[in-house]
Amino acid sequence: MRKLLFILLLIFFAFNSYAQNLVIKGKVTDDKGNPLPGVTITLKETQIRTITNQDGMYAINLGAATSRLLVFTYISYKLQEVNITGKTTVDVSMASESKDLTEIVVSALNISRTKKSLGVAQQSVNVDEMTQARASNITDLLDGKVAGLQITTSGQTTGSTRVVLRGMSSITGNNQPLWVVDGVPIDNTDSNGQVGNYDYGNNAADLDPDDIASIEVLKGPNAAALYGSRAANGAILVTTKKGTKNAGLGISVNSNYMASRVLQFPDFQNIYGEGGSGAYSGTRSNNGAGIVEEGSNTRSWGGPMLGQPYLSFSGQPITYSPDPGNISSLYQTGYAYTQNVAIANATDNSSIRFSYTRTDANDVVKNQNLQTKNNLQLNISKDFTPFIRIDTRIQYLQADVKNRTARNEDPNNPNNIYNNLVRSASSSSFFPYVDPSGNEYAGGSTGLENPEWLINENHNEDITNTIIGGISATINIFKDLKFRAQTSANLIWGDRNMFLQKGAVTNVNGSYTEFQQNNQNWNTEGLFSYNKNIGKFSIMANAGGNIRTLNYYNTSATANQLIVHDVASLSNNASVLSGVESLTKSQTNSLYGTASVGYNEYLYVDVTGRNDWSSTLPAANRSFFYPSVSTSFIFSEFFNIPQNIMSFGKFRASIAQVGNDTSPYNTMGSFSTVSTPFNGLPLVDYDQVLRNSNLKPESTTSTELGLELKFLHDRISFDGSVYSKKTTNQILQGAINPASGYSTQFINAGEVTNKGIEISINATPIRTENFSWDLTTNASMNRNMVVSLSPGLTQFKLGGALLTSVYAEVGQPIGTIRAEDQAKDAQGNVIIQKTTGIPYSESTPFTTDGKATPILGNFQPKALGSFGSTFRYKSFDFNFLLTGRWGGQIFSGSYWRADQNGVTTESLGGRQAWLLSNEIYGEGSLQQNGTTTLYGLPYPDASRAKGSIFVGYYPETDKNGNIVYDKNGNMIADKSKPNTQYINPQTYWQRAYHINSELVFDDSYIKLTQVIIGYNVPKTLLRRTVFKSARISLVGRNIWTILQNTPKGIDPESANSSGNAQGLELGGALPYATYGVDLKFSL
Amino acid sequence: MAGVLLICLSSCTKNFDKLNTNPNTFLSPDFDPVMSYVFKQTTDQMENDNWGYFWEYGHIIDPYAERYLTGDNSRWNTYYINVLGNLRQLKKLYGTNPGFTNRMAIAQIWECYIYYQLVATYGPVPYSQAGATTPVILYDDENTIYTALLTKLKASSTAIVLTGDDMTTDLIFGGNLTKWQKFANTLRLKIALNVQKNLPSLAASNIQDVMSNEALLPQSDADDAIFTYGTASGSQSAYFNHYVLNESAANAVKQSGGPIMSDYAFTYFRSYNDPRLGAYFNLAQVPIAIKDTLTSTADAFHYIVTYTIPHLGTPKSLSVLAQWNLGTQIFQGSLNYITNFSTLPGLTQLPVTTNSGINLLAANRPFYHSTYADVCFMKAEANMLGFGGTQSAQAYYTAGINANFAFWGLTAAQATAYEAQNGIAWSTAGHGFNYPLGFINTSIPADNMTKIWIQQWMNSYGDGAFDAWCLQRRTQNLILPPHTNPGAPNLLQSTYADLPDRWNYPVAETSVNPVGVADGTKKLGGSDYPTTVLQFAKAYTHTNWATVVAFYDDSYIQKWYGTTIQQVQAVPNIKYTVLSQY
Repeated sequence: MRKLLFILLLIFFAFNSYAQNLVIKGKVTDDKGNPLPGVTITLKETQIRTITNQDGMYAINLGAATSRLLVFTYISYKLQEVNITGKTTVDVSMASESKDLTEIVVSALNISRTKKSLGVAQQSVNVDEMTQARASNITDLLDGKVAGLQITTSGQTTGSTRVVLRGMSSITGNNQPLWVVDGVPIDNTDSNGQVGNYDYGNNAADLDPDDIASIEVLKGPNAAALYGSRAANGAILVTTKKGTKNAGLGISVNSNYMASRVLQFPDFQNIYGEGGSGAYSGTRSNNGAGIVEEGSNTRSWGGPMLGQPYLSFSGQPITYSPDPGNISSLYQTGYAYTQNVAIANATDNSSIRFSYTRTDANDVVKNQNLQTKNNLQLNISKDFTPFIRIDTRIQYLQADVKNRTARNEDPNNPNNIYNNLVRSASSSSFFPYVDPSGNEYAGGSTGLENPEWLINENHNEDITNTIIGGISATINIFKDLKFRAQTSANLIWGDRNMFLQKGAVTNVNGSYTEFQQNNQNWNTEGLFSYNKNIGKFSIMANAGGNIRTLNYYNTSATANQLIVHDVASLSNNASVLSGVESLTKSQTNSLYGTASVGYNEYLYVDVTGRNDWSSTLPAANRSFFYPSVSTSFIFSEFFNIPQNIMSFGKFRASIAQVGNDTSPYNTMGSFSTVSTPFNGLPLVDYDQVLRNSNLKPESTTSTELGLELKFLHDRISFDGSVYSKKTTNQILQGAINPASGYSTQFINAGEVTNKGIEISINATPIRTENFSWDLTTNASMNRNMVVSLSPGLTQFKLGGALLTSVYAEVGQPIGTIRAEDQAKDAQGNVIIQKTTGIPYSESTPFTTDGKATPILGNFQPKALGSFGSTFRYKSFDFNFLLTGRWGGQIFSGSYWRADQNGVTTESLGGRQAWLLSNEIYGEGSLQQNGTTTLYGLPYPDASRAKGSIFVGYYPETDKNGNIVYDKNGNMIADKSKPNTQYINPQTYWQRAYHINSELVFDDSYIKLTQVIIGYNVPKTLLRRTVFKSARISLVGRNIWTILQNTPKGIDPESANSSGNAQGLELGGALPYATYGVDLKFSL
Repeated sequence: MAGVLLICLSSCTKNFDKLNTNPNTFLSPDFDPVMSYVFKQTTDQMENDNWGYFWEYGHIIDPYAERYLTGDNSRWNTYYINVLGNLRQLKKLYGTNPGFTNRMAIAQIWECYIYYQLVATYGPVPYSQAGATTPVILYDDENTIYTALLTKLKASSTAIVLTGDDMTTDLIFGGNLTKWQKFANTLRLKIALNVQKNLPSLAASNIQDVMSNEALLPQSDADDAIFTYGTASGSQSAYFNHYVLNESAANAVKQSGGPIMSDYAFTYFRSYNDPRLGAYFNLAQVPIAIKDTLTSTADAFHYIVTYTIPHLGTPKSLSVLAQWNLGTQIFQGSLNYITNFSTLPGLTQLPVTTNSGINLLAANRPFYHSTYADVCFMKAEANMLGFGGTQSAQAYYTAGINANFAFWGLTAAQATAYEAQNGIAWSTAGHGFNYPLGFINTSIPADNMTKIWIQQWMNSYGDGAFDAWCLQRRTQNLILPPHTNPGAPNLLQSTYADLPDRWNYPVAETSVNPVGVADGTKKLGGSDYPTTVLQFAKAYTHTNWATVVAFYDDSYIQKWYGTTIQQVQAVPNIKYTVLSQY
């Protein structure tokens, strides 16, 4: 049809040209001189039009028309009118539409807005880079791209990544922003994250950057108020690509290969092997044969490894020798291979885009996290002008992960093994790992697992299917009034299984678990939109309603004891099958409206209001309303500031309130069955959580001021915000006195405030035809404070690892890290126990009010920042991004273990002296402390070091020998009595039990997060090929940690969960870097 | 149109209450499955506390915790939340239902049993205000609680109508209501005997009342309160779960040695040729060789020989006080520990070699909340105190020993032979060996009350360790050695500790109920320490163990097979070596 029309037109033009023969020719280029294909050229006030070809050339026959104005239009370029009177050649250079003035962004409720009219903070993310320097979790790619956005990764390719905008507001609730994909709020909650010691990732992780057109980050409740309760922590709006008109076939291909390798292995000693107190002997011998069995002792406090006889895990004679490579033998070079093909096309009134991505990846740990992902996306739109437009989009994501790595101190976590592996265990001694009866060859009988057994015999697999899709119809009711109806779904279903082989040391019977889930999240929405310009006023009003239903259903069954090896089936069950079923339903109904009034393109005032009815709250408090007001004032326009001085200046201010409901079933207690019956009989238990029938919604009130400035024709732009937000009526699941019969209770209590500042600066210091240099920087600071908790409660425990806990405490930012530490006097001198030579612990003397352990840190950073630059020279470009954080602490449980196990190089301190004293000279504790055994006389060899010694003083005592305390109850160091006692280095380094300040590290870091070196094949080279564009780039992620204060091998970014209990590291993954090649071309 | 939407949105909330009701739980379950859960939680907790704490306190089994630790939060939390919380919900559901009279009485008996354990562990605890969901829950003093428990137990026992309602699945007595009455009275007797010091008249009246109707006390081990575990996953005993199923714990245990026989009990066993030694504990896997000097019936020489002994108990702690100026402990052992010592039967990879064949760590072994022998010893004490009874104190005492022997598979002849010895026989004094560190002796005086308590203690082997702790605190009957590696947090500055007098309040109480715990501490007498003596306990003067004269005395294992070399030679399969003769 189009062809026919085209021919007819040609004929028509041909006749006309024959008549008039006035043809205007020319070339259209962009502001850099590149030809622009597809530009529409219209003779004003006529139907005469043409488009430029792929070289930007055009010819238009004016026929008999009298108009002499040509209009050049092209999407995202400024419209240009050119008077052609007396001309036959008109070359036009089109200026790209100044983003700042008419940039259209997607804002809350998927309503497109001009950015200048927004009175709230919203930042766009560069999506292009995401398809090149890829990460397996798209969330990781937000790192450093947005001011005020903090990323915490799991350290594993398949794990979940935590995102926090503008600090933590909720003490126990979710602090992560809402993810919205094409207007569909998706489920990104932790319930899909961690289960036991396995991290199943966050749902947004699997979104494919190839399909994403834009990502807008709404930073706080002010911007996201319209999303209501779900967006109290901000929102991340993802808009997928639609079909567009193309000059070519509309096929694009992206091929990406990323390799990853461990960036840092921990520094471990290679001198002393397994054993205790510096002795090779003393460990268990093999039935009296006198040969030490590998793994009989779990710690490396033994003798020097000098090749003594030794038995491997399988009982083979080997030698007691160091194997510095025994950690790295578990690791390999990982890879991720991504292949994307997309086809897009559009006509004047319809568009289609189909995209398929496949990803195959593994991990740096051998045989772990084997991923296969398939992403399919289909977007279709049809405009039935002038009445109705239908948009449909559907994304189907399937992720299959085999051998997801266990985390924390799970014995199956290979990352945990190296902290617990004795230094005399050589990597070859792990083989064979299966004995003739199919059981594990493990370390002696002490519970030390054979790492090769764990990696090769245990396995798990999970398949997650996700559909994110929706259909919307936009109806033009009147000229200015539209109605949009939309139904969308986020469906997640799949199954998981986990097989623990029978015959291991820690789980001798093995087990097999199957888990199935079927989660449905439906949204149905209707929205009226009214747009009208009246004189200098513009009016935009929206009113709508939404019904959202959540149905989460899952079942699981476990065979707790296996009959035979290898069979991963519930029928391989030697005992009682235990099963759990869970169905969680909730519904939220909402009504909302917004009105935006603009005056003369420089002053805008927005008002929003929303009322939610949540099924999770009791009837009396079910309905809650929250409003927001914001304003945008473009003072550069108002004062008419010259463009060459300040091209844009805007001040914005807003105040917003957002309510937040709770999870289902928190208002009424009930009985439930215990999953495993007792001797075939059911057991029923009453809820240990005291539910609350008076729960009120949480409320966050946020005030925000912002300034946007652009100078020197937009060469420098600045965006800054200050905000203050207060969250009250927190819904806490707080501890309750067990004497009540409950362990926790739901209460409304507490107030948390966040105050902060965010700055983004973009600049283009150099811009010439061949060379340009752009730089971008983001910085933010947030100050968080727990103003109050519930009455009488000053401390709320968020979580813990080993003996360290993190709390929300009144008068402190959320995240105080507390653990036992050595006692110090008011001057900071360590007080040592005279009898043992070991420091007193902080909570000694032990009294009822002295049980609190001291604060050793806080996990919240003081500031976050990033700095990036892009250089372009002709067809080459180079981009890098540095990200960093300043302040905040992390407790390293891994290091705690490593010190305790005597595997760190640090733990070598004092061992040589001790070996000489204890093993060779046979000195006992009296001699080591300076007296002889027999007559209590001074020991002659006093000056020689005999082991480790704690630096500190004995406490001051009164004449009766009782310890004296100062007025604050602290002991006082007796400076005349420094500690002189040598102790066993094993005791010294196992101090971690009570000296935790040495294991809480500053979490500041600077990382080279992203590097892209790209080459765009010039159009001139592609002209005679089928390719429309081609690009190759070399990329890298996290390739250099420039500043780090944690020990080697401990990633400052690591966390042992994606929940609110941050600042704890335990058995975390080793930091790894990825490098890759990215190839893109389009046809 | 907007109006339609509005109406829909606000009216569609009608189903919200139903929507917000968890479909996988229920509001009014049957009585029995909740009660089953209560019984299981209680028993699991008691087993866990036994291996964790009370065996150590009891000085018969050494769990090798190597510490005089006081408990964590779990006893407090399990009892208040899992047990009392559920009992409270049952009371709410069925308390006023006349069809549930007997079952509510049973629930109340169990509630008293739990509170007794709490008050005897901590002292003042929340009682009258327990169950409140207010921020402050005040504690009740010991006397108030004991008084209430004794009253309630009597009322519950009386309230049971034998022809009335009953549980269908009664995991303790199989639906026998008379046995529940007997259990209530056993508890009354136990509590009343325990509170003689602080509540003398109340104790007397209750003891007399119970003793006046002996028919309502257990008549044999058939009346024991038993919770029977099973072999399936989730039904296994907590001992089994800890020591056998949880393989890593079992391995850790094997490495550090334990649970094994305490050298304290071992000295008693050796002093009175007690056959329970072989019934309670396994033979040492690799018997240790001792050196001995023996005479000969064949000549006038003395022979210095080494031979192996089948049993050995473990020292309380590896470390000894520096002030004692002792060298390395004689039986400090190596890491080969477990093979040289007499272990608790049933540890992984160790065959059960007791003569009773009872495997204390078997998955399905029943837990005994009460034993007939214990009742006999309580009756003996009651009778001694003049509180009645149809038989003599001596008869009850002998019946107790007989019941205990029979329980562990020992013969009546063995019991008779044991009972005939000096120190065991009524009103006789017996000479015992020294404790291996020399400063304690196991001689038994002629005093009969001492005898009753020693036998009651011996009977506490297995599940009765909590009762043994209460008995010891109430009577100070045994002279226990100090723990020289105590580890209790308040005792960091000490190098030794005596038996804990109580547990200090859970640390969490200071944050969840600070006012209440302050109230409890006040009612406790001002300080919340493990060394704070409870009101029922007998005050005693602590020995300064640093100044006692300690010496190694291995006479308790000498002359194992007799005084002559011929007696050693007569033992089959014994390895012996004559080192010298003179």
